[in-house]
Amino acid sequence: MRWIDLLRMSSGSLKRRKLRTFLTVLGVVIGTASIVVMISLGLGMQQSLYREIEQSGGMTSITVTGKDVGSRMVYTSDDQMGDETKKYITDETIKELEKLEHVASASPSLTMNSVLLSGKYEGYIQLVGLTPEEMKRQNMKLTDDSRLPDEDAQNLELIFGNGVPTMFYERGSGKGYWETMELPDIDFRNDQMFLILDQDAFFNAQQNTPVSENSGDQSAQSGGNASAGTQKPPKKYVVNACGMVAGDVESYNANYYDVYCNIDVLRSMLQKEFAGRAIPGQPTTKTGKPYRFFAYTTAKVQADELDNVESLANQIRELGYNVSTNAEYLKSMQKQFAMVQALLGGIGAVSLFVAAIGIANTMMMSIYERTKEIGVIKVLGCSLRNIKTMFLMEAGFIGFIGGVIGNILSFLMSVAINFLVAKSGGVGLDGNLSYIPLWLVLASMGFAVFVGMVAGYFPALRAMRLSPLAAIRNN
Amino acid sequence: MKKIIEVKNLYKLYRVGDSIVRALNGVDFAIYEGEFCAIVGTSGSGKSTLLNMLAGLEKPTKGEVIIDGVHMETLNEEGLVRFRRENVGFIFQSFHLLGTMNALENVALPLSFRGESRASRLKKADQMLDLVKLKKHKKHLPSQMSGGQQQRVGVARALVVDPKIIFADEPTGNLDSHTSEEVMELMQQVVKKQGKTLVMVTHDDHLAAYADRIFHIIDGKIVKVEVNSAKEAKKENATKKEQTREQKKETKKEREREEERK
Repeated sequence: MRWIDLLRMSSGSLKRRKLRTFLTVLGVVIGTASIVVMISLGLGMQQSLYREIEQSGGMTSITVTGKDVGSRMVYTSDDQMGDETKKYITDETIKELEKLEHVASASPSLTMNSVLLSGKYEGYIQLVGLTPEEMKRQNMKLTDDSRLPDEDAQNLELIFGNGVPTMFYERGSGKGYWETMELPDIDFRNDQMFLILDQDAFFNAQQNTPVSENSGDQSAQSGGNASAGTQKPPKKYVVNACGMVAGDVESYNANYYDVYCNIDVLRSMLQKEFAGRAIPGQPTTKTGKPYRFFAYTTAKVQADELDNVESLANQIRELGYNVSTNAEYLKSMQKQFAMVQALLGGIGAVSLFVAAIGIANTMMMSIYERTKEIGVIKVLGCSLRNIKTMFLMEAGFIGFIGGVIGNILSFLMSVAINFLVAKSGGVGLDGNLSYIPLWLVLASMGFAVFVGMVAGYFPALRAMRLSPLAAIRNN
Repeated sequence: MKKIIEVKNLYKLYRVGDSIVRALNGVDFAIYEGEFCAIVGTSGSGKSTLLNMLAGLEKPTKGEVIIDGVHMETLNEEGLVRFRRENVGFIFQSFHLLGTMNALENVALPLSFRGESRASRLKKADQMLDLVKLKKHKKHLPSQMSGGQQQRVGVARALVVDPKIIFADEPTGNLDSHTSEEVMELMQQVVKKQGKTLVMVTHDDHLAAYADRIFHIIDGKIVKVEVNSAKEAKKENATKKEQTREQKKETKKEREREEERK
C-alpha cells in the first residue's frame, strides 16, 4: 500500500470523528505547550547568563580575591567565603600574577561605596576602579556619545551604569525612584556632580548639620588629620561623566548598578585625602594604623587560552588567594539550570503523559468501533503491516497536529510572558525571560509525534491481530 | 480442465464446553477453473466453515486445501493475506462496504492494498461499476443506495482486482427475492464473461440452481454433488424464449406494415 493512501485513510478516519479528535489533540496541545514554555523559561535564563559572562570578560577571565577589602554592596562570590585567606591583593600580587605561566594580563580593581551629590539629589553608589585596559576589556555597551575615561586625566571621570539613576534620592523627602517611579531630574552627562569618598564623615556631618548647598567647594581643605572626634565635613570632588551604559533603567545588564572610574586616579585621590589616616575599607593594624601597602578588592586575570583557565585558577589558589572563574561559575550555573529545566520540563512532561493516555484511549475506542471495517480490509487483502501502520499514523497524526498547535500556542505565550516581564521590569534579567529556539520547536514536535505513536502502538497491534472472521460474521 | 481448488480429507473440530463439534468431518472435492459452484446446506452444516477455510480465514484442524497449487494450511497469516490480495475476490452477505467512501472509492479500495496509483484505481473501478450497471450511482455513499445496488458495488469490488477465484458468502441473504434474482443473474453473467471461478455458499436451493455444480453438505460432510442439468435446460429455454420473442416481433412488424398498406 502506498504511503499516500495510508495517510489518506488515517486522516480520513480522524476527520470522521471530529469532536473526539479535537479533544484528544487538545490534550497534546496542552502537554506540548507546557513543555515548550517551561523549557523556554530555562533557556531564557541561560541565555541571559551567557550574555552576562560575555560582558564580564568572557570565559578566560579569572577573578582573584584576597582578604576582604573595600566595600561592596553586592557579593558575587559568596561561595568563596568559607576559606578566607590572610593575604591581601597588592601591587606585589599583581606582579606575581603577571609572572605566572598562561597569564595574558592581570589588573587590580577596587570597589567602594561612596556618595554622589547633584542638585537636590544624593545617590549612594558603588564606585569601581579599573585600569584603563581592563575597562576596555569589559566591553561595555555605551551610549553613542560616550567615551572611556581619559588615561591621563587628573580628574576622576566616571562611567555610569544605566541603573544608577535609580539609586538617587531626593534630599529632605528621602524619596527615590522605587517610591515615586520617577527618575531623578539629573542630566548625568552635563550636570555638575560632587563625589564624596569618605562616607563616614559624610554621614556624621549630615547628622549634626543640615548639609548646606555650598557649591564650588573645590578648594575645601584637604583631609589633614581629622580624627573621629572632630566633625569635619568630608572633601567633595567635582566629577563629571564621560560616558553612560546604553539602555534605560528597564534593561538590565552586567554594568547596570556600577559607576566606573580609573583606578589610578581613584587611588591617588584616596591617598591624598586620607594621608596618614586609614582609608575606609583598607586594612589596618590592630591599633587602627594603616599598612604601608595599598590593597585592592580583586585582581582580574585573563588566561591566554580557555584550556588553561582551570590549571591557572588552581595555581593561584595555591598561592593563597580566593579564585573564581567565569568558567567555574558557568559550570555551577549550568548544573543549576539543568536542574531547573528538568523540573520545569518534568511538569510539562506529566501533562503530555496524560495526553498520551488520552491518545491510547481514543485509539482503542476507534478500533472497537471499526472492528468490522478492519476485518473487511483484512479479508480484502490489506496486509497486517499496513493495518498497523495505518493506526500508528493515526496516533502519530494526533501527536503531530497537537505538536504544531502546541508550538503556536507556546509562541503566543512566550510573547505574552516577555511582554509582561518587560512591562513590569526589574526581574534582574537581561533580555527575554522566555526564549524558544528552533531546535526546541522541532524537538517538541518530534516528541509529540513520538508520544502519539507510542501511545498508539498497542492499540495498533491489537487492530493488526483482530480476526478477519469478525467481519464476515453477519452483524 | 485444470483443478483450481482441491480439498483433501479436510477436518475442522471445535471445542464447545466439554464436547467436540465436528464442523467439517472429512471433506474431499475439487473445483475446476471457470466453474460456478454452489455449496448448499442448512445452517450449522459447516458450509460457512468450509468457505472460510478455502479463503484462508480459518485454519483447518487436519487436511489439505490446495488453491492454484498453493497449500493454504502451510501459509502464515501474512501469507494468507497476500494470497487473498493476489488471487481472491470476496462478496459478503451484508455487503460490508465502507460507510465513509462512495461507491467508486469502495470498489477501488482493494486495489489500493496492492499499491496501485489512485488514478488507475479509479479508472478500473469506474469500468467495473459500468459493468454492474451502476453508472448513475458512482458518487453515492452506501447509505444512499438500496441493498441491491450495494451488493452490485460489492460484486464490482470483488471483480476489480481481477481475481482467479471469487468467494461469495450468502450474497443475497439480505436481499428480497426479486433483487436476489437480479444480483444472481448479474453475478452469473459477469463471471461467465470474465472466466472466473465462483464459489458461493447458500442455504437456498433455488439460488443454487444458478450454479454449474452444487455441493450438498450436511453435518460437515459432502453428501451429494449435483451437476446442474436444469440450468442447461434453463439456458435452452431462455434461447428459445428469445427466438419466439423475435419471431413475435417480426410478425408484429409485418402486421404493422400490412396495416400501413391498408
